[in-house]
Amino acid sequence: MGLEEALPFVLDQVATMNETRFEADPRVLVVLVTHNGGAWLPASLDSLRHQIYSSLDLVVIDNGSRTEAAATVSRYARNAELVRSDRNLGFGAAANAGLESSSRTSSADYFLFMHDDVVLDPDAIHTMVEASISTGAGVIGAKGLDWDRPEVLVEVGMSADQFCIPYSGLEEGEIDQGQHENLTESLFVTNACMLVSRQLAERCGLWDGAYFAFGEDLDLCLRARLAGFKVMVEPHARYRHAGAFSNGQRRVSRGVPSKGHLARRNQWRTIAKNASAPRMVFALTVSLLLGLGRMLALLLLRRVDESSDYPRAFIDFVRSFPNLMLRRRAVQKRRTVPDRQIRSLMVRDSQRFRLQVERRVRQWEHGTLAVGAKSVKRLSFTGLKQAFAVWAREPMTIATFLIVLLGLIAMRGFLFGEPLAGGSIWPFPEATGRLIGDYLSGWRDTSLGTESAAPTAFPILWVFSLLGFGRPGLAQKLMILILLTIGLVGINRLVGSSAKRRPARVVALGVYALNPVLQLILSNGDLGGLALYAGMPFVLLMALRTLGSGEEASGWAEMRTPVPANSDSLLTSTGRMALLLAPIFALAPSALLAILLLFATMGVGRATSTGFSAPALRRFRFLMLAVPLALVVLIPWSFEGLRPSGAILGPLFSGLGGWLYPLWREFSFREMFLLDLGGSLGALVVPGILLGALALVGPARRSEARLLSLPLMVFGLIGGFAGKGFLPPLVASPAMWLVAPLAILALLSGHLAEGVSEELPRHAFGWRHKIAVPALVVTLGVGVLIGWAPQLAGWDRPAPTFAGGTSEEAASIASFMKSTAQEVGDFRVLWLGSRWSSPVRTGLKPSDGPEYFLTTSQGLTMLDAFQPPPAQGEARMDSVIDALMGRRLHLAGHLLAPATVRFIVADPNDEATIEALGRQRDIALEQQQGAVAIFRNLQWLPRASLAPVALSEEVVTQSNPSSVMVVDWTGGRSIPARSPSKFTGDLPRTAHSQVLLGDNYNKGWKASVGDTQLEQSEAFGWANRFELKPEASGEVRVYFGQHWIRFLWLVVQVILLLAVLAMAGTSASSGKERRQ
Amino acid sequence: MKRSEIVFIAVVLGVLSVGLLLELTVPTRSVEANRVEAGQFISTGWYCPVPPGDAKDAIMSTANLASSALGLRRSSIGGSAQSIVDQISIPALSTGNKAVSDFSVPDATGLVEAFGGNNLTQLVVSGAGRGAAASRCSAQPASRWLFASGSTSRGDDHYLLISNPFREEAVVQVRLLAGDKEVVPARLKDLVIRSFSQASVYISDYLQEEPNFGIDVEASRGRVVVSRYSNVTSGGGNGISLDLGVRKGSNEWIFAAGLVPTDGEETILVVNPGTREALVGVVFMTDGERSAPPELSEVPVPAGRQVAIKVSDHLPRGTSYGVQLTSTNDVAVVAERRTAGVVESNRSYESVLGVTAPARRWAVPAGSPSGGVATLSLVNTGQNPTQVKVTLLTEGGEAIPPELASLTVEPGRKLVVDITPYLGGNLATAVVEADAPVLAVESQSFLGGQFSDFSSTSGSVVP
Repeated sequence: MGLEEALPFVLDQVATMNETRFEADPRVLVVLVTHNGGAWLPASLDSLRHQIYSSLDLVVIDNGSRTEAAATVSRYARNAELVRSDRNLGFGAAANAGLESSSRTSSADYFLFMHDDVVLDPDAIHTMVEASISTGAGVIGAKGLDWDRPEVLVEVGMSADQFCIPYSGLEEGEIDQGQHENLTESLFVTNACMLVSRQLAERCGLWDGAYFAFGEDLDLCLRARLAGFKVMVEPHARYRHAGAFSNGQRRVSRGVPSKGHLARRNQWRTIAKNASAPRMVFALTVSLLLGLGRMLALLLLRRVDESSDYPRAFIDFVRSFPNLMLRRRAVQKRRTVPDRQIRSLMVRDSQRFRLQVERRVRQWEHGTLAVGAKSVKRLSFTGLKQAFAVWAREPMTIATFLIVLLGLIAMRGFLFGEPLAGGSIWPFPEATGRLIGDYLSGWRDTSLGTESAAPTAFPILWVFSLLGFGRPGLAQKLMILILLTIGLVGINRLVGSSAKRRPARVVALGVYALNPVLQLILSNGDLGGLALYAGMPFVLLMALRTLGSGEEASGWAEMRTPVPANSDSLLTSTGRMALLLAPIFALAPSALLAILLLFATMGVGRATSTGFSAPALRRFRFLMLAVPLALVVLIPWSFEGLRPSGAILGPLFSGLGGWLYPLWREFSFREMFLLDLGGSLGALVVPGILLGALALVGPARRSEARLLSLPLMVFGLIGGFAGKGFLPPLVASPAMWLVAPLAILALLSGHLAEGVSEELPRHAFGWRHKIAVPALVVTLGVGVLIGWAPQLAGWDRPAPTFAGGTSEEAASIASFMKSTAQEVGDFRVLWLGSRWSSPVRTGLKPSDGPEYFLTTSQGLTMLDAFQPPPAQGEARMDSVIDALMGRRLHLAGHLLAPATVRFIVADPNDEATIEALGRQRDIALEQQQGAVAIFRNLQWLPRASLAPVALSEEVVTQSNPSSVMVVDWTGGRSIPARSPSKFTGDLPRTAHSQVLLGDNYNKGWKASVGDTQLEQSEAFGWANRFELKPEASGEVRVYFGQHWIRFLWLVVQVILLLAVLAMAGTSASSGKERRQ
Repeated sequence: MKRSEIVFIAVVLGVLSVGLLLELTVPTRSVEANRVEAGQFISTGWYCPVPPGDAKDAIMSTANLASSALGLRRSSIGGSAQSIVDQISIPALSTGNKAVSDFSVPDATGLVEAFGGNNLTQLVVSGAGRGAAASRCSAQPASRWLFASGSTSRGDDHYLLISNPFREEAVVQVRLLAGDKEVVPARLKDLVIRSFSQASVYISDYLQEEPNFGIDVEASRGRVVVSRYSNVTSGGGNGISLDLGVRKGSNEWIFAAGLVPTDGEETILVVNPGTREALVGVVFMTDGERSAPPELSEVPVPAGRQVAIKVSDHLPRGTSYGVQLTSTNDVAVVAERRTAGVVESNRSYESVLGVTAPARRWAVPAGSPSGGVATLSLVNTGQNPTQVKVTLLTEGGEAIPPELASLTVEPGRKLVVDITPYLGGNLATAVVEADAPVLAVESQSFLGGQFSDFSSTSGSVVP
């Protein structure tokens, strides 16, 4: 029963209440809610029988217990009224129902609500009533002690933080030594034992039945406080509490939502009902975002059960929101106390955080800390010794370990060297906060700046930055290691889904881990390729399950179950695939085309086995659906990524222009087709594995090998033709193209190994054996040892072809830029010449013209890695750079200045670039370090600045649409930046007459002085120009609007993510599915 | 094994074989590198270091080679006073002249900023009673400048005009590369050139009585423009010369307007500013033949040294010739032709840096404000005859004399064209266009009369 239903009845009872009162003792109605009370209920009833307080009535609500409580009640409390509910209504609704049914409600002055696992001291009720009378409090709580260890405190009043997360303030296992003996105020007391006055019930009502469990006591006490009632704890009243529901001792009926689900939902309900409007918006937003973060963390830890609580709680919350708002209105109507008074009783977030950390440490010590699917214990020498002894008995584990060790040794320079600065791999910003700031900003401060949405990879990097304690180098390497590990775990699972024997896994792991594709990815710092490497085995596994591969093979049922062909199951599978693909696309946008092709070819490959039947087509449709669904999760960024020049389709279209061909041509047709990256002998590996897997395995594996051979060949053919220059490369880097065939190859190797070790012995020694043995020798001996392993020797450092030169140079340049930025404010850097542009990096200058790119003073960041689609200014920048490099210009510094270009970095050995720069009157060599020359634009203009009266004198030439601005404007005054999209400062008394902002002609920028909005006049180069009035004074502000649009998008994105999460279903169903 | 499986395996094998076959047979499509081609100028800054003192008249002559008007912003950099800024527009295919003295700033570098299409600015100076000289102006300030010729013998006054047209201070070092030694005068080790200034370095102040050396000016900070002004009164010749240095060495040098003096000497000076010995081959081209003296097939030029080749040792006196020098071992050198003696009845002194490659289109200053005879020397370095058209641009506009509209230059030969009748005593810019990129061009002026001076200027390649 909900509050609405219960409240009229209670009030009605109050209205018809007998006017006669007991003058001596107020009448107390004990409301005891029991659900599968077991051994606790008799003790609880017995304690009531022994109360010294005589003016007591008792109503017991049997809240859907399996074994009816009637017998126990009649035995221990003959005078008690018993109310029975057929199902578990939850505490609040059950108590409301009890009050509604009881004839004694109308005569009660107090209601004592208690659980069935609570035992009261004999004087508890007496003490609580006295406290209530003496203080006038609306709610009185008692001191709670542990059921089994009565010296241990469990409650002496409760608090909560601003997000309504409860906090007890007690140390775990805190002994009662009389340290909490004062009658004190508390934010709330739990409903384990809570005395509520009739006045409060009349004014505020009682329980909100929609809570079911967790948080209804906080809600009731907050309502009481808002209405002006006190909530007190009388520690001299004591009770013992078993906490049977919380600690899982109580059997709970089916259909009850999980604790996490209830706790989250009720937390949001309590905020929505009781907080003031501004605080509600803040607390709800932060709480939802924190919930999202926690959910992602749980997903990463594979605690899917717990992570699914969040979307379900959110959907529940959203569904009940209209009703909740009506309740909120009623609560706020009764408000007499401001939020700040209540906040004074709330706990600070830091205190709660400290407690959480301490609790985790204790859990670790006790071996109950859950990390992933298992709990971890504190390491001890004996434990380690035992674990090692077990581990050492597993030769295959040792083999796997050795493979990983070999990889680590091979990558020693990469992993344990200095941080990779300057862009070999996307650099993480120094300030972690900036990542999320950039993500939420309406303005992206990259290239020439744009208002497009930031890449969805931001939250992922943010998480890694946090894990790396804000240290970019650590975060980078952590991410690399984690992605590598995920990839290897994935391939293990993929092969394990069709092979029981360890040799199959080891062979597959070897193929996937010790190959030149991974070397290519790491040496190029291709984080996108690495993300795909990590996710591909899982993608392949889910795709095979969705397509129903292996369903005809009865022996596989225990390892891999195909997704049932009904729409519900397929939809769930599609949702999961979309959730898996989304982070991959976020980090490797152009992988979308490779994945689409993979799915298409797998679908056709599957059809070659089963024919084009209706179920097969349905499976195929659902598989393909996952790709657009993943893009839905990435909205709004995916809109931009899908533009012809965007991060997803850009390589396809720009590939036609030829800028990628030189890279692709490093891989010859044969290499692409045969995956021969280890030399000519290694070329035998692919056909060896493919033909071996086709010929030497049992029917089920052979069928899958046929399915997989098609994508392998199609990828090889397309890659080969792209390498020859006859097709545009579909993806940004060859590595991304090679990962899918590599995973297929690893799986086929596993098939082959499994087939040889398991299936061949069943047959007589014959021609299969004659082919099988050489195929294996070729695969392992020639392929790995001769073909690939030698390459590992040189696999220790990324190629020095990234922005910033070698790591040392890059670090030095980065340091110079940062120190200058601290001095003069933010600026842009133009990296000029072919040395700096890495075709592996998605989105960097995909055009046919001169090679360059722009970064902020931070150097290359994640934002540059996903360059937004060109805006109006990019075309002009192209033409200016073209003129500069063609030596057709002598005032390039003037032209670049409004774009805030302060430094131009060039390779001193690049004669063409150096000569072009040398021709410029307004560009001077600042310094030269090793193979890096830094030029300074003498005409540099800060991003936002005050400019002199006569700003420009343009010479318009007929040979080029660009205008050459010949006037000097040095002396402009910078307006300090507050964020990428906001600049503020005091307007000085000077002759300045204009405000300039060098950002891509975007009309979204606005400026004001004091309260006066400034009008935007004709652009000056790249800069927006605002006219200042002569009498203007006050603070000058330049800002980019539309934050609310970005925020709205964020909300939409979260909702979409939650919707897909809900679509993907819960882990419970997946577990069931697995068991089926 | 089922039949379908056998077919499938056969298909896989077939595809693999076809792939291998294609790999071995299909060629890789060629990929064009991203190169930025030179095109029409948008804006150009020309820096013309002006000789001090005795060069009374220095005229900056800007030729508008484009088909639309050209905006000019002319001023001077350096000196002690604020320069006047002169802004005009000149019509298509014409020249605009401006005396540097009009800016009222002595010892300053002339600056021409041109906004529009392709153009070229040159400086023509008239020395007090000693004749005239012309030089290209620089659009490319640089950190290194080289000359192959220099002398501090008695009567040989050589000045380095070092101009720093930037807001940043420049620091330069001057290295002198003689035949047997390499000298960096102590006071020229870190010579500071203030911002927006021009310094005149009189070389004799730093190194005395050194008859032959090359010059290497290197800026350790900033960028400069360096010209060399020579005022020679020694026995062999008597005249002035003005040359802009070159920014780097080259494997090839061509001189189109060689003429062996009837009295005196013409010398090809080769300097090797690098660190490896260069081997240089020399080929002479006259109007009748192409000859490669065996003794000059591989002339060794040690690193950091200068080598002098006397032309009269290989060609008869009075011969008009072109010469092509090629570094056979790809070590870049700098070459200059120096003449001191009697040429075409004029006794004078002249030194000129050649051009580094043949091209299709050239522009070169023609004529002198002091009158005299003006010629164009054209050399065809190719294997086939080339058709050449000469256009003359003056302040009055463009003129294509019918006689010069179609000239033929035979391969390996030199052609000299007298353009005096078409100039009318005016300064002009000759635009020479060939039908193949095989041409090298040089202009000469023979003032005669009281001056008894001659002057040579190498052409500038124009897009």
